[in-house]
Amino acid sequence: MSGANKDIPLFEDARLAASRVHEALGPGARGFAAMCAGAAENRPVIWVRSSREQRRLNPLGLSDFLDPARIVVAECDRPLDVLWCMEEALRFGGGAVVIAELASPMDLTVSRRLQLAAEAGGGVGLAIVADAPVTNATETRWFCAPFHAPTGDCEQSDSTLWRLSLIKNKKGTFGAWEIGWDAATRRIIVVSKIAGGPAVAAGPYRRDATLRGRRGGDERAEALRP
Amino acid sequence: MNALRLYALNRAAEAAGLIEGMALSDARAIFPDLQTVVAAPDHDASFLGALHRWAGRYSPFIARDGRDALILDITGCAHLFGGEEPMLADMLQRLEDLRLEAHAGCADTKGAAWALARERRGAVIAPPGETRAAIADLPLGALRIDRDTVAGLNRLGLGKIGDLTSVPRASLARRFGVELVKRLDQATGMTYEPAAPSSPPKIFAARMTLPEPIGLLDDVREALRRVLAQVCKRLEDAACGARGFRLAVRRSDHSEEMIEIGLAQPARDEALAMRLFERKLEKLDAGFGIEFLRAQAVKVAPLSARQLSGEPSEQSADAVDELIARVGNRIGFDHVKRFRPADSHIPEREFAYASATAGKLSTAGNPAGVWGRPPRPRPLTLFAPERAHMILPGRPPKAIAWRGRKIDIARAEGPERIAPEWWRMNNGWGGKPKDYWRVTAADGERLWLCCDYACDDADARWHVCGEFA
Repeated sequence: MSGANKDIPLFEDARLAASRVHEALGPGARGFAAMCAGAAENRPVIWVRSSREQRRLNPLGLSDFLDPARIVVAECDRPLDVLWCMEEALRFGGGAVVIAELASPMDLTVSRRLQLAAEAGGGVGLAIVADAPVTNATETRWFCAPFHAPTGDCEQSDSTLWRLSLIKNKKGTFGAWEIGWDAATRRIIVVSKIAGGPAVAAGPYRRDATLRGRRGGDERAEALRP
Repeated sequence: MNALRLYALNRAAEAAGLIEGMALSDARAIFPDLQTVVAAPDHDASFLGALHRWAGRYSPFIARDGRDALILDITGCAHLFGGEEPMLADMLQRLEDLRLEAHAGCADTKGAAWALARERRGAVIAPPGETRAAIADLPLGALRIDRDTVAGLNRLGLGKIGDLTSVPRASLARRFGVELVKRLDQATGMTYEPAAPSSPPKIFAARMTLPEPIGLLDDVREALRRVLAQVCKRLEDAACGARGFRLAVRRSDHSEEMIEIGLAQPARDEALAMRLFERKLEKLDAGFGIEFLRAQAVKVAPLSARQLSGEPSEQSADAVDELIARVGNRIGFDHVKRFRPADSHIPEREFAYASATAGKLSTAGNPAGVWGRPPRPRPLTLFAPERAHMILPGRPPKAIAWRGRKIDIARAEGPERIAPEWWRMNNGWGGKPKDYWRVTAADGERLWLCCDYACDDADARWHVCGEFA
C-alpha cells in the first residue's frame, strides 16, 4: 500500500521512523502527538485513550494540526485494552499513525511487543507517557513542553512555541529545538536549535497529573533524564 | 395488567378449563399442578418467520395471521400436489416430521378456514361452495369475535354458527354490534376479506453438518471458510452486506456455542470476516468435537457493488473500517469514536463525538460535514470547567491557583465572548455569556481561562476549561 512504510518527516533531519514505536512525554506531549499526526499527511490516525480520561480531545483544537476526520478514537475502559488496541492497530498497519495515551510507562516487555507489532504492520506508533521509564525498547523518546519566551514587549511575544528535545535515539543523535507550528502549511517550523545537546526544558517541569500512573522508580527515572 | 398471564396453552390445559389471557394465579387456583414456561414472543415470531419461509413450497402468497398462524392462498397451487386433500396431508405430515402439532383448515374464505383450523383438529376441507354448511356446526368462538359476544349469544340459546342464520341480521347487529355481522359475512364469503401476503424475512445463512466431529483449529477454520463463502455469495446475489456475522457450533455432546463478530460498515467480504473470526476461533472450545456449524449474516443492509479505483485514500478508508471492526469487536463498537462537525458555537457542542459506525448521516445539523474554522484558537483538550482561584486580581487575573499550583499569567489573549444559545433551555449557562481567554503561564503552560458570569460571586467566576498543549 502506498503511504505505508513511510517515515513521518518532522523537520530538518528529524523524523519518526516507520515500523517503530516512539515515545513522547512532557506537558506538551499531546501537542507533539498532534504535530506528528499532522505531519503525516492523509494517513489515518488512531488515537487510543482511556475512557476515564477527563480531558476530552477537542477536534476544533486539533484542526490546526490535522483534519479531524482522519482521527479514530478508541476509548478503552481498562488500561490493558489500551495496550491491546495499540498493538492491534500497529500490527494492522495500513500506514496508520497510532497514538496511545498510556497510564503507566512501558516496560521492556510491553515496548518490545509493540515494537514487533509495528514492524509487522509498518505503521508508526507514538506512546504518550507521563514519565520517562527506566528502560525500554522505544526507538526515540521526545520531551515536549510549551514554552513562553518573554521578549521586551510581552504582548508581541509569540506564545505558540514549544521546546522539544530528543532524549533517546537508537539510531542517531540527540538534539533540542525551539519549534512552532505553522497551521497553514501544517509543518513544524524550527525557530532555533538549542546548543548544548539535549536539555530538558528549564524551569519548573510540571508532571502531568492525570497521565501519571502509579509506579516506582521515580528517582531512577529522574536520574536518567538528561 | 402487571399480573402474569397465560400466553398459550396446550390441549390438556384447555381441557382443564384454562383460557388464554387468564391470570396465572387464577389458573393455579383452578389447576394447581399447572406447569408454566416463560413466554418468548420474539422467538415465536422468528420461528413463525422460519415456517413462513418453509411454507413457500406450497404457495407464493403467504400471510402471517396473528402470532401463531399462517394463511396460504393456494388458488392454483393445489393441483401441483394432486388436490387439496393430498396437499394438506403432505403439509401436516411434514410438520409432524418436524415434531410440530399443526392444524389446517381449507375453505373458500379466510374466515371459514380460520374457523375450521381452530375448531376441528387435523386437516379439514370445506368443499368449494359449501362453506356455509361446513362451518354451521362450529361453536361461535370460531367466528373471531370476542368472548363477551359469544357469552351473550350463548345466553340467547345461540351456540353454533348455523344458529345465527335463523336470526334476523338487523337485530343481531343492533344487539351485538356490526362486528359480529361483519365476521359472519367474512366467514360465509358475503364480504371480501383479503389476506395480505408478505415475503418471508430473508435469512443469509449456511450450515454444515460434518460426518465426523472436528476439533483442530485448521479444520474449524476451513469449515467456517466454506460456510462463510456461501453466506457471502448469497449476500452478493441479493446486493446486500452484513454488519456482523454469527457462527453457531454444535459439539458432539449437543452443547452449543455461539460467537459473533461485528463490522464497521456493511460488507460481504469473506476474507475480512475470516480475519475477524480468527481471534475468536482460538477461544472456541471444541469439547469432544464439533459436528455442526452454521454461519449467519446479521444486521443485513443493502450494499451495492462498488468499483474499486485503487486510490490510496480509498484503500486506507477500507483499512480503517477493518481496524475499527477489529478494535470494536474487543472494546465495543460504541467505544470506537469519530468526530463530526456540528452546528453550534458553544465550545463543548462545536463537534459531535459519536461511534465511528454510526454512519455518515449524523452530522448533527451540519449536513455538509465540513469543519469550519473557529474564530479564535481552540484548546487541544477540553474538560469540565475547574475552579481557578484568583491570587492576583486583574482581568484576566495575573496569577491563579489551579490544581494546587500557583500559575503566573505572563500573557493573555482575549476575551472571546460566547453567548449562550438562547433557544436551548437549561443549558447550564444561566442565560449569561462567558468570556474566554487564552493565557500563557510564565512556565509556558497554555490554558483556556473562562469567566462565567452566571456565578454571582465575582471570585468564583474564573475557571480553567481547556489546555492548548
